Amino acid sequence: MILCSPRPVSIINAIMLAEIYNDLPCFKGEEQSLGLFGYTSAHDADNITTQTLVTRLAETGVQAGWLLASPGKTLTRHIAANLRYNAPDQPALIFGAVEEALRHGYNYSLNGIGSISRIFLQRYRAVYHEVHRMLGFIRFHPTPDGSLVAQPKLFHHTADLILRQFAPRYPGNRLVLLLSNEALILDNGKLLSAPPENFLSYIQNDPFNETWEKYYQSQYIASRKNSALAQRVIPKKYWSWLAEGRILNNIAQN
Amino acid sequence: MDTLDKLKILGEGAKYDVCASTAARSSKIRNPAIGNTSPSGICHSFTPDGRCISLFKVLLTNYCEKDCSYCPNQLNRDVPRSRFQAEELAKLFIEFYRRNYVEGLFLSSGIMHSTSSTMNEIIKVAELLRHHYQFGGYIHLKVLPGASASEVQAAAAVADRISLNMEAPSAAHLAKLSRAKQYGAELLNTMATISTHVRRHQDITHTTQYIIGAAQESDQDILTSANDLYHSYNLKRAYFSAFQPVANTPLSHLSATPLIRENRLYQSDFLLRLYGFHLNELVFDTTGNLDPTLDPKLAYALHHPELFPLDINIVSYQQLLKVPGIGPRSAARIVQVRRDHRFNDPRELKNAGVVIKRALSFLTINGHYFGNRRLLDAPRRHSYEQLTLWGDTRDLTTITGG
Repeated sequence: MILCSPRPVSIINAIMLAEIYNDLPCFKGEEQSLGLFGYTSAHDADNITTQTLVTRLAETGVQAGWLLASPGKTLTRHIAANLRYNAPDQPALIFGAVEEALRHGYNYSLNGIGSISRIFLQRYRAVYHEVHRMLGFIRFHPTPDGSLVAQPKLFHHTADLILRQFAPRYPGNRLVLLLSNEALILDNGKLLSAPPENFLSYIQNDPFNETWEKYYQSQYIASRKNSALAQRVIPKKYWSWLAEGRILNNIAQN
Repeated sequence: MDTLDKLKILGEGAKYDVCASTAARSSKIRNPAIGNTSPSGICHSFTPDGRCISLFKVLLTNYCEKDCSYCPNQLNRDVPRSRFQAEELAKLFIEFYRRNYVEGLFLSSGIMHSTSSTMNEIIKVAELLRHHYQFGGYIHLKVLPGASASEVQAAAAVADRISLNMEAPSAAHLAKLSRAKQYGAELLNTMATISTHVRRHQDITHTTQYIIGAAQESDQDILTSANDLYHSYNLKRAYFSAFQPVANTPLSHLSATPLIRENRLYQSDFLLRLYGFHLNELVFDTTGNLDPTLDPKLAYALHHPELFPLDINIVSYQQLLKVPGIGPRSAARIVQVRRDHRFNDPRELKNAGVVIKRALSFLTINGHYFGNRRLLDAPRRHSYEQLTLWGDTRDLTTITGG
């Protein structure tokens, strides 16, 4: 049994150890998921360096030197994104994709050519797509103390990434995202947490919504109506959350 | 008239202007108080017709002294008219931006009093944003036909992108649309001035827009004109807007240009800009138009069956770009993967982003052909039209990166 932490470097080390010892990797604390395999001797992937494992793997004929170069950084980024993806099979898929990368080469894996790598790449993209989408769809509400408060609709663990992406856009403002159980705050580059109730009142009534809806309707060209395309670019799961979702719904029904 | 009413009138007045991409290299000012630019475009919403809303797109005024016969704001139309004061518009825009409704400003205008005074008002709005609000985000300013070199320079100093609408591909075609606009003196000369500024300054790009189908021009006329602007005037992108008849205008009797024509022009434009195609490789019919039923790259491939099939494990990046169903990203991915893996199976190609349905007839994989040989040997319209069913409904104006 190879134990690792849910961190990219630890996961990569675990897969190399798994190759060396012909054993199964597992996140620490989830050993029972291995069943009987959980009773084999344990190796801790956090107690060994990637460099050492690359050298040991080379002795067995597996070339993994690329893990120490630029493709290794890309794989690390892909794993980090997959760790943010919300799915029950998240660990198994990440382990499988790193294993494919070691067996078939990094180009095969990082470009999503294999069946597991394909899902691995899709999830990496889905996480960054959510960040990118939220950079457009999130609406901030100004507070009297200069903070900007928003309530995003997130399906993955991306709130901190989103806040950091917004930071250069609003350098003088404290940014607050209201999540289901906390308010995540970015203040002068530091991430803080607070109870969401402190900020809810700012979300509910912003008179500017009417201005936005007026502008939004002014941009519609009725002769080009294309509800199928509109539904593809703003999926229905966002319609109840975005102010313009109601307008889209009305137009789609007519 | 209150701000909301003005917003309705002047927002509607600008809705036919196309300004898809908001990508910009760097901010125009140092240490902005608000706003930044992004290397990739961000859509903040989409209209019910599927077009991306990334910019606060509005007219400074819809009063206009020009007589463009396709335009809803032309001087002879009896419509509600209004104008924003520069301060009022700048403040309104900042409120939109602060709440993250938009990525930047797109400011156009009718011509009120004179080109010069209107240009100065447009520039004043952008200067207010840059200097008073310390706005570091994206600004796209429309340059009016006949603007002077100093006005172009002032606009270029504060904007990330400027654009001048050509509207028509030649002087003869423009004459059918407007008696007041001068193709050479007002459009090409101003375009040359813009081009000079763009060459000198790396932080600004310029684009243009054509009205499609209002002046009986052909697709070849438009693409020839756009291609010339790309090569001779440093144009970043040409946009195409299918003509829509507007009531109480001289062209209200014309029927609307089918949107598929606009789509085919965008597809051809992408082939010219990103796929390494030359204008003479595009397939036009005897009237100089593209086949509206066929994707232009598929038309090219069917027109040159002698070039296909190509082996996916051997051909160059440039050759891959000529294959229907393979775009720049999937071609780059294929070349990268081939360094340590040979493609053996169509599924692997699909995973690399290739549109298998379109591509297979033009490829071999390790010497095996998985496509429909008759498509190349004796093409029947029915079988290749099936290949164009998917993907052609994309609104290419929303594709960013320009």
